[in-house]
Amino acid sequence: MEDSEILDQRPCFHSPEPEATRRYGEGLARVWREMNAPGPGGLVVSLRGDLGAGKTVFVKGLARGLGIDESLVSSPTFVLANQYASPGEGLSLHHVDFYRLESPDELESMGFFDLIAPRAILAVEWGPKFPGELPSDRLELELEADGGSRLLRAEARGPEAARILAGWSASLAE
Amino acid sequence: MKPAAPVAGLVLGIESSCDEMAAAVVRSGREVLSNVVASQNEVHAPYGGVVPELASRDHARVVSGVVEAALAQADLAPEALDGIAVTAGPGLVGSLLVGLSFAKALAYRAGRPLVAVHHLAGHLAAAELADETLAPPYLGLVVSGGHTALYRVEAETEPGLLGQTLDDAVGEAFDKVAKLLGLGFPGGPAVSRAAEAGDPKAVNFPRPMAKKGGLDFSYSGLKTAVALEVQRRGGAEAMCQGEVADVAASFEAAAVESLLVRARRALSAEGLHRIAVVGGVAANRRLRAELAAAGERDGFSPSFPPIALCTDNAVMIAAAGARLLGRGESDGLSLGAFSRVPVGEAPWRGAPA
Repeated sequence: MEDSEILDQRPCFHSPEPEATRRYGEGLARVWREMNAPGPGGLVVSLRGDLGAGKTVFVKGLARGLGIDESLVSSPTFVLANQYASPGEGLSLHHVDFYRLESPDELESMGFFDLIAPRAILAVEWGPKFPGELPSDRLELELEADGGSRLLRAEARGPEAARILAGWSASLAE
Repeated sequence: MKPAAPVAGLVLGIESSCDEMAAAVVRSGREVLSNVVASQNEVHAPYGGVVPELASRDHARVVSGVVEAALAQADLAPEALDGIAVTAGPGLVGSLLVGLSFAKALAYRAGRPLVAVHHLAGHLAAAELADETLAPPYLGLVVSGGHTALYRVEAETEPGLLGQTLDDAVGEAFDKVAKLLGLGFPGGPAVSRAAEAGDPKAVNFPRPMAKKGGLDFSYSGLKTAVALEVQRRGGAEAMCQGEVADVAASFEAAAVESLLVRARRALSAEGLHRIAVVGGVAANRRLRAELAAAGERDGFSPSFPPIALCTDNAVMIAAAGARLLGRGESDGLSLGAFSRVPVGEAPWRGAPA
């Protein structure tokens, strides 16, 4: 496949309930783990969606896929960033929320750039607030509420994200 | 009566777990000699919102001045201290490291012992500091923008976690509902003010996890229900003042009720008759009134520290540190910061440098 074809992938996923959103996250983390073994590079997922769309729910799913107890994953809005280590494999989940930030200057003092790391998934809620500060190779995910259900739109920016997205889509089609 | 546990004399507390950089000196774990807080909120409030240039959380710029002011107001040199207590977690690692590094350097320079304090154990220590009749064992309810949790507080051991939020903190729900309703900042007081004119029964919001037993909390679903209700009414701009008041009052009633239900359940399960409510949401008037009324019915007595001790401060860190130091605890200069720590655990003890 040509890179341009890969980059054109913009699949949509339908989620009828929070548990389904969680399973999408779980599936993405699993695919990332499997595709990158044994030396995974970092994956950056930028999340967009209104209050209550399920961004934190999706990240709970990412935790589950990394073998992290999802009940530990709570909203990072107040503390700005939470870090979780997966048991055993040396993988980690970094969960950041730009919601309360007003200026990209704040990213340095909150330690954001240290969270972009190999062997880690960095999930950024309200990522589109400062798109210029995110790594150019990343997965963009939009969650849109439609009554009780949700529409997830995924888009790869960059070759590594495209490779992961292709694997994720394929795993969902199975 | 049991003899009081030993407590260290003059202790400097340093707190920098999130937005506030604070330092304080406390004598014997109870007497406040100084209390300095450089708050992001104070800076923001006059402008009706967050001012980008001022919102850098640049604790590194203010830490030295804040600590010096706390020592100067207490009229003490660092060498005169019996110890230095500092928040090591949970919180934003970058912010925590500023306070931690400064505390280490000061402890090294002055040759005084250093002790790490759990942020939430600090909040609970603030309750005892403010209310002399409050003594363990009692139930601690921590309600703030970052935390929602119930603890059993004992005299000799660290607080034991009974239940906590599985998603959003209650203070965060208040902030986000304020934003949905187009109300001011910070969100908690803004929603409560709007709610005063509203009907708490106007909208029957779901009571978070009402059907589930146990002592855990969840506020994400309630937040989503408010978002849908605002959307149904055409958005905050389209809603009249009375509608905003009704939605605010109905949300506040649901949020407070779920705190109340779990607090009563925990008091009864643990056989306790005292409850201390700490954290920013402890300032909520509806929570105070309903907990007091429930106490009269059920025979328990709630304790609320003054507002100044409810928000993040260093007095509570100094008070909690005085007890740890009194018990003979101290930490080496290899102390590390942690983003997430269950109360009762102290991963910073023996942490790599």
